[in-house]
Amino acid sequence: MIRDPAQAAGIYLTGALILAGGVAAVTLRNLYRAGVALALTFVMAAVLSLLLGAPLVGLVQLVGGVAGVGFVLLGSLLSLRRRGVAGTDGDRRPRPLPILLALVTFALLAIGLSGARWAVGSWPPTGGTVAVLAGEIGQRYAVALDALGILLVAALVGAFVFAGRDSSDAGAAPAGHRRSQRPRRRSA
Amino acid sequence: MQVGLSELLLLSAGLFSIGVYGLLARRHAVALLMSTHLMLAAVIIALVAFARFTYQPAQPLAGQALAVFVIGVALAEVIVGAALVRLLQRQRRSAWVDD
Repeated sequence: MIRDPAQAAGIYLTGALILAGGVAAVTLRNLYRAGVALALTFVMAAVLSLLLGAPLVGLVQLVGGVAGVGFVLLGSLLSLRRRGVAGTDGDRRPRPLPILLALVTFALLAIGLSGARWAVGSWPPTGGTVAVLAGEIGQRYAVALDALGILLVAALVGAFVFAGRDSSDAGAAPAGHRRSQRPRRRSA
Repeated sequence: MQVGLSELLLLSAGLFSIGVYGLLARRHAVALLMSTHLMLAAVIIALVAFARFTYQPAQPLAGQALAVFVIGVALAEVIVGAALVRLLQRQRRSAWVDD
C-alpha cells in the first residue's frame, strides 16, 4: 500500500488522465486528434510506471508506445490522407450494444479482481529496480528476449513486403464500381 | 490518501473496457488498432501494479519483465497492422472495415 500523500495523489491524477485520454481516443471522430490522445495516454501510463517504481518500463513505454505506436499510426493516417481517404470515423450515432458490452466487461473484471486475495510482497528490491530488471531479462528471460527480437524483425520484413507490393496487384476496383462497368446490352 | 493494488487493477479494468468499446464501436481500421493498443496499455498497467505490490524475491519483477515483452509485442502488432491497413486501402480504396 502506498501511503505517501503526494505519491498517492500523483497516481490518482495520472490515472484520471489515462482514463480521459482513453475515452478521447475512442470517441473522437477526427482520427488525428484521437491518435494524439492515444499518445498522451501512453505518456501518462509511462508516468504511472515511474510512480510505481518501474523506470525502465516507463522508458520503454515512452519509446515503444509514443514514438512507435504514435508515429506509426499517425503516419498511416497521413498516408491514407494522401490517397484521398478521409481521416474521420464518420458514424456519430451512439451505439448501445458496444457500451453495454464494455460495461459488462468492466463489471466482470472489477468483480473478479476485487474478489481475489493477492499475496503482498516486500518492496523495494535491493540494488534498484533497473539493475534487477535488466539482470532478470538478460538471464531468466533471455530466450524470450531473443524471440521478441525475431518477432520484431519478422514484423518489419512483413510490413515492407505488404507495403511494397506491386501497384498492379492493388488495381482491383471496389465492388460498387464493378457494377457500373458491366457491358451494356445493345438494343436490336 | 493511499493507493493499493485494487485501485490500480480497477484503473486497468476501466481502460481495458474503454478499449473494448472502441474495438466494437469504431469502423475505421486505424481506430481499431488504437483501441487494441488501449487494451494492451491496460494490461501493462496491471502487470506493473502486480510487480509493485506482489514483489517476491524468488521471482523479482516478473511483472515488469512481462510488461516489457508486452510492449514489444504491441509494437510488432502495430507495424503489421499499419501495413495491413495500407494494403486494405490499396485493394478497396477505403479504410473502413465494413466496406
